[in-house]
Amino acid sequence: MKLMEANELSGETHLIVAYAILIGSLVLYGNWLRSRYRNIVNSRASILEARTPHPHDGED
Amino acid sequence: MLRVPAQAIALLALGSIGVVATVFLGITWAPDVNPSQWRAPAAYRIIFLHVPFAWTSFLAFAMLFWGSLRWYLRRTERSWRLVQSGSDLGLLFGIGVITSGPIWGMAEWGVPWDWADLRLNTFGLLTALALFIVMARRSQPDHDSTRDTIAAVGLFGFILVPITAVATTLYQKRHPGVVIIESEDSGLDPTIRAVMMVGFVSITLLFIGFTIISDKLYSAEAEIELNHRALDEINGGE
Repeated sequence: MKLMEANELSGETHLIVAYAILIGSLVLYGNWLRSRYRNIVNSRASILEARTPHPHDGED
Repeated sequence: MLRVPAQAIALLALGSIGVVATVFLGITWAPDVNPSQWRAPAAYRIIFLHVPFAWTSFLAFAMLFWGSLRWYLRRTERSWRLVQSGSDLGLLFGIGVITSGPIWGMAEWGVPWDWADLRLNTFGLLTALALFIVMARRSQPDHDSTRDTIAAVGLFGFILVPITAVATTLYQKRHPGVVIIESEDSGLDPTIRAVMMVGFVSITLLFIGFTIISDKLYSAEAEIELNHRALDEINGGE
């Protein structure tokens, strides 16, 4: 009986760990997509800035 | 401004709700299994996410195969993006399968892995292949010759998918057999099957949402790379 209780507890612990890893991996992937999105938005802004001529360019 | 399609966000939201519902139903609604027949009866509930992850990983590997094939036939950026997203998602879902599976194996069999089991090992190889492709893409310069090599690995590696899929039917050693297809062997409780179907739908919705967003991001990143090169040329020419 004691052995069965130990197995039951062990099974529940395994279940929690497995669910945490599976759901956690989905969350991590989602966060990675979000950080790539932010990088793209920042890169686009910096490219636009680099392309825009300075208002005083060509005055000399 | 980069626009992420509203449909993709809606799919991710629905999929996430579905995953939470799957876990909730899997723990509260799905019946217990006979404790005298199982070493760790509670751990069987891992299948409610493990099996949908495995199914979705096959979708990702199919996308990787299709992208690799199209890359050889047409050499378009669109087909290369399929290789990129397919390998990323194949790795994501593959890692989920090869971590949750051994966790269940440890509870139920007492060992996490069986080196004599065909399905475990072919699926492990498939995930290793996705890992190789992701690492090769990130570490090698992005030339056509690199893409050819990576696409060749994606193309021939797909042979492992049908072998993995039928492994438990043709050569069952330790991994449990097919549970979704109705047969005398599966004998799956209707409640367990219903929860698993909720899991399937939810993870598939997440997969579609992730694929749409990943494709958009890779497309935008390629465009930025082109713009950077053009800027470098202008600055270099001055």
